[in-house]
Amino acid sequence: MAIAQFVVNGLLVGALFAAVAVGFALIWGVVDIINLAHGEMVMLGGYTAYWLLSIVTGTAEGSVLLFLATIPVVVGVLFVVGYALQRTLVSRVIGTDIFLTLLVTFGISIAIQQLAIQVWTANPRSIQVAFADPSMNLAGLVVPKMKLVAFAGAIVLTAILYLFLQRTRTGRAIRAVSQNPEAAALVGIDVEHTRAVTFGISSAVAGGAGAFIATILNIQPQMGLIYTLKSFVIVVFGGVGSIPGALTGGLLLGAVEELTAGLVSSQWTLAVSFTLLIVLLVVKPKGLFGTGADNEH
Amino acid sequence: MTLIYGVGRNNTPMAEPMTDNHNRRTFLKLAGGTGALGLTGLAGCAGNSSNGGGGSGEGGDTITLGGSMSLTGDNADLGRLYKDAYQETIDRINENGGVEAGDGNTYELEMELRDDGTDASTSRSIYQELIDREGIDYLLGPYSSSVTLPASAVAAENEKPMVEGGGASPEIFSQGNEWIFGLLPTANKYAKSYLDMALAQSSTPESIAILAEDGTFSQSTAEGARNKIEETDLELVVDQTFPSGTSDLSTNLGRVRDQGADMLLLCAHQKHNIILANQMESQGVNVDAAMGTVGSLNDSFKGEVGGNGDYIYGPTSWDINANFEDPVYGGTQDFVAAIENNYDYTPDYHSAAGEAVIMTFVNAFESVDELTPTTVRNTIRDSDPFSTVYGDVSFDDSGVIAKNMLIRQWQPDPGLQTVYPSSVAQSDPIYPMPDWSER
Repeated sequence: MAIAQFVVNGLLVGALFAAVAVGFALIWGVVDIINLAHGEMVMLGGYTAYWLLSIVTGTAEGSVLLFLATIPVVVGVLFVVGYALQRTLVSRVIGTDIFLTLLVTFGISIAIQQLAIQVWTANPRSIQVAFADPSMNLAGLVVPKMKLVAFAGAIVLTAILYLFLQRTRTGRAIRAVSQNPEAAALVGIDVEHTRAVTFGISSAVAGGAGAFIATILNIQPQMGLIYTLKSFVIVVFGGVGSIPGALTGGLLLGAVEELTAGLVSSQWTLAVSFTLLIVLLVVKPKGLFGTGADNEH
Repeated sequence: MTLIYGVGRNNTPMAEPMTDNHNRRTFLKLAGGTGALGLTGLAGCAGNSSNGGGGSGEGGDTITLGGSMSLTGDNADLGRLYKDAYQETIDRINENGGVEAGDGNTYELEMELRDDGTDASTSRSIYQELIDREGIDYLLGPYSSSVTLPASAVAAENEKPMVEGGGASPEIFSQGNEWIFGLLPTANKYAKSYLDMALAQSSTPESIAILAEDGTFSQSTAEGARNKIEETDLELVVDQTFPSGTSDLSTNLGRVRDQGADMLLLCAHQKHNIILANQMESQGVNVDAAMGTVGSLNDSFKGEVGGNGDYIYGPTSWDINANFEDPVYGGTQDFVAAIENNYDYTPDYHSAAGEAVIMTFVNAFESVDELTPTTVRNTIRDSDPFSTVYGDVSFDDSGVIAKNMLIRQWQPDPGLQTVYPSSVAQSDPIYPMPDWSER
């Protein structure tokens, strides 16, 4: 029973990791950069929801419906942030040396962190969502209701992104740019705009996940790095360019971390996760579902 | 501007009176501007005065206290408490005419506090730079044990006294370092009063769970708790260490719930206290008592967790309701009012310890015949107890203040109350704390 509880805990947070990672994978695949500022989008999403609720309720506390009402606003705000970042900064280094792109996105992450500290202080914050009974018991397993809501929210965000890419004209344009930017340009696709939209969508999904994270964990200006690292691991697990792969990778990472914490110790979670990463890179370098970083999409 | 006698870097009064602006840096600039001959003569004067590397930093009539602090990073919220207390106290001392030192001179105090980002190696570099480049002889300690331990080694290597109010690991004081003085009871004592309080209740607990962050301070706190538990009939049913970076305690709290622990001790800082309070509710963890060792008594903690923070305990080395005499503020309540009025928050023991850090130096400066790092260090070590807003201050042979922790609890109606020991308690503890379903 204890193991089942650990797995449930892991799957619940793993879906959030996955929602963050799909955006990371999308930018990697379409814009061809490793966005080290991706974790900061999670942070900004969390703070946007926090302040929206604070403005409405005065205390960053509210009902689950009120909290869910903030998600579209968070997604919209983070889309604009991501789009603007791509247009003003990231676009200048696309196609250059990979170290330059890493440096620029790393610089963006540090700048956002420091700005956040100046504006919001380093105090950790959290959103309080009111439930009459905060947890439920399913066949002996304790499932916090807000974690279940966050799990569902993360799955919905991931699914919407997947359907958007598969079913919409813009989604097809994004996939076209990721496969061959030159050919996409030849058929009339505005490549720069499409890349910026991709950056915006990825940031929006990460921000939405950040809002849920603010309700079940906490948020602070320097939280981004760990989510960027987790995204990296998940993308390698699942394979670059595969949304189902990222979802599976996220759930797998969550389960592995919680099983490690439960059966061994929390101190070993990162060590085990990154050992798995190394093993996967050696044994299955293209990930569980993907086609590899060299041949994505 | 007050005309006071300038001193060289060994604090020996110079032959001519000098205004505040004529510090050593401008002195050298003037010398450069007036030509080589003047430079030689004047620099010679400055050179003589710096013989022995005295204690006033760059300033001729000032004593500079230098240090690093967590002004950004995980502990920035607590670092700010020290910075504000330092600054407020120094400003007041200067407004009152400065420090009348035992060497017959009056000095203004100056502070050079740099941000270490809550990073030990950054802090260590800052101290080395303050000593080497700024010539600072008197060091204000940083925040947190993990940062203080390496910083205190820099103080010892350079033979500069460091007084700190933010590091409580016994490791800091077990290195044979004679240059470090700590104003917090060491971490191994943090849980002692909490356990004593619970064991003094009519319905005594039978089991306890410890969740500890993997930092130096928190591990020392946990070790002290384990030692204390061995002396009691309490059964230690969960003993888990988690990494500082973790933001999810649900699996560990699940252990606490499944093992049916009566007491919970979280050895960690504020971030994890917030997670603890929220996840105890969401995971349905019901214990008779829960305490976080650092940050659980701050207004910002309660502000973030709201009702989930009710009934949680925390240790403090200082009671805000006390009224100790203090030569700068008058008394503890005047200090509380000053911080509330000027910084818009209620001070806690970190703030009071910060004030006592400054007052420890001031007391030593006033007592020494000659102002040097060694004489100041010796005076701090041998000083009789002196009163500050933090209470009486004196140090044992290892450099630690002799003080026991008090226990405070967030209670729903009156708010934060001192509940143990009974001699200073404002209220009885609400023990056991009600189950989540009854709140």
